[in-house]
Amino acid sequence: MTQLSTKNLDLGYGGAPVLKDITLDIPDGQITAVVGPNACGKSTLLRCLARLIKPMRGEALLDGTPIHKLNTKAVARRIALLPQSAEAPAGMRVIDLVARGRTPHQTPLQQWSTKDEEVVTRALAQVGLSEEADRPVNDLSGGQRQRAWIAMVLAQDTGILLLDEPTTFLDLHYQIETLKLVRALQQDRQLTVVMVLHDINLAARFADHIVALRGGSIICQGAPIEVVTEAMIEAVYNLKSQVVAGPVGDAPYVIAL
Amino acid sequence: MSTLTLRFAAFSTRVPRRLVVVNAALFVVLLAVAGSGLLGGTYPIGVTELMAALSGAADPVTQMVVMENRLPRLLTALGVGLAFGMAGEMVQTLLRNPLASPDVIGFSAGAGLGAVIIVALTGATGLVLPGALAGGALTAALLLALVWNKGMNPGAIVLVGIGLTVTLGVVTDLMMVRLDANNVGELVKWIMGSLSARSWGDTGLVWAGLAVVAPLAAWHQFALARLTMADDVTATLGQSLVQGRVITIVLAVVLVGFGVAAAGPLPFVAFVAGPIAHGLSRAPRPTLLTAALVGALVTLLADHMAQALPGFFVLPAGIFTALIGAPVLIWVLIVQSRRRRR
Repeated sequence: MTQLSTKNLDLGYGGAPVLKDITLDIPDGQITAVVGPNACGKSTLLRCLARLIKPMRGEALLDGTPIHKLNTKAVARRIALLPQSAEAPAGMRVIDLVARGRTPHQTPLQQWSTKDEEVVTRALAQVGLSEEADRPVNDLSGGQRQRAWIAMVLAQDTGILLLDEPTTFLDLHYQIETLKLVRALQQDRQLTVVMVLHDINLAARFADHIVALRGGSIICQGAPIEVVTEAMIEAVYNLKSQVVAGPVGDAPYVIAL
Repeated sequence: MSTLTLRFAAFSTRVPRRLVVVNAALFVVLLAVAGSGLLGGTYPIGVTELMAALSGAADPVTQMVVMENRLPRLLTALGVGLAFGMAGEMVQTLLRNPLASPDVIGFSAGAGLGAVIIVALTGATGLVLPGALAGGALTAALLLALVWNKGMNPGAIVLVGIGLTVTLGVVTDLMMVRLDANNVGELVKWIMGSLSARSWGDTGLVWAGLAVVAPLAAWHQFALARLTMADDVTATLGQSLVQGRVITIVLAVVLVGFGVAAAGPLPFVAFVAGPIAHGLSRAPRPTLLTAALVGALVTLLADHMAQALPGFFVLPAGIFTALIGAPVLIWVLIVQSRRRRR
């Protein structure tokens, strides 16, 4: 069994479930991309894995224990979430934001231990923002801001990282930069990453494992080379396409017809 | 680095250098204003006489002016200002809106009405504190119940809160008309806020409240700071949203209750403290200590103004806090509407 898994999961916000009977093993130490059309329940699934919404039925499991039965702080030391388009409070500097990632390891008395300082310094260096540490977050460019938030979840020092559409609102250049950074960090820290992505081609290129959702169910899952096929694109997105061998590695590339 | 790191034994924290400088400067200015309050005024007292009075060795008149009049008044003003400044910063931070301060959204008016009702019912001022605490708590509970289905939407809380403040004001006015004239003079304190003729009882009251709540607030500042992030971020960092919000509101209501019991609502002190503190420090919210010091300074200055007027022209300090607060209110509204337009 993997660290993070779900069993017969039904998810929703009152009313009819958005996701029905999801049973899933998230591969350890790999990048999993959750893809699918709008309103297929991608973000809902991620929010449940982050313990933000309770299952209507079934369980999300962390090492076999239902996440919702675990203590908030204990979960926060194991799983970090980068929410979609998060905003920093006014006046907050980059280092303040990254230091917030240390929260589950801190107490009101112990707010800046030497360990905190080391972890934050390393996170800033790994995302390339050491020089920007004292600048207000809101003065940064879009790409830098996203890296600052990634540094915050890195500082949380968890083995599992959940990213909700980390490339939304970013220019193409920054989208690639951000996902390259995620890949580099995943390899350096042996992280288990789950990210929701809009763009099937980015998912095919940057993920080890793809989970494709539609209408609240898993349509298929597996390595990009096995999953990203013309039949799958048709089934998930209702779209005719041609899948070609992409220029990067053996990642398939989808051309909509 | 622009940040100071403090570490001793099991304690560690980091503070922006500018915040430390601002706090120190506020503290010095506060001491100076307090000192001038003790020395100057209609009956000037020299430093040596003041020292003598404090140690109980001055002439009877000086002794009385210092020990029975000026000192309790000054210490009450200080304590009430600290309490209101801290409470304002807590609620404004929680609701991420400077308009959402306890005196704007009805906590102070509720506490004032609670005090008035208790005095009217018992005919004495002995139970003012429970009255003010209950009034503030009931108002907070009513406000939260009215906006419950809208979540913690700050806009809704501000609007409903202002409505509550007005409604409570009308109820208070009605009470005043019904009461006999002898009581009304004393009751003005809990409606407008006043620092004249404070006794050691008032001083003890507000400082006892501070002694209990201030350490809890300092402890809670860690959680409150995390509540300024988006809800999803706060929750995934391992902080409980509901618990953090409830504790913030309870601490603020208790601070306001003690302050109102000692000196009445003093409008706008809680409201102006946070925006001024952050204008000076430019640090992210919350900075409870800075806001508390600003609250104390505003209260002392308002009381100075109240005392500087000629004797036949006696106005309660609450009028002057409102005079200081109104321009800040307009400033905040302009800044907010400008931000919204951008």
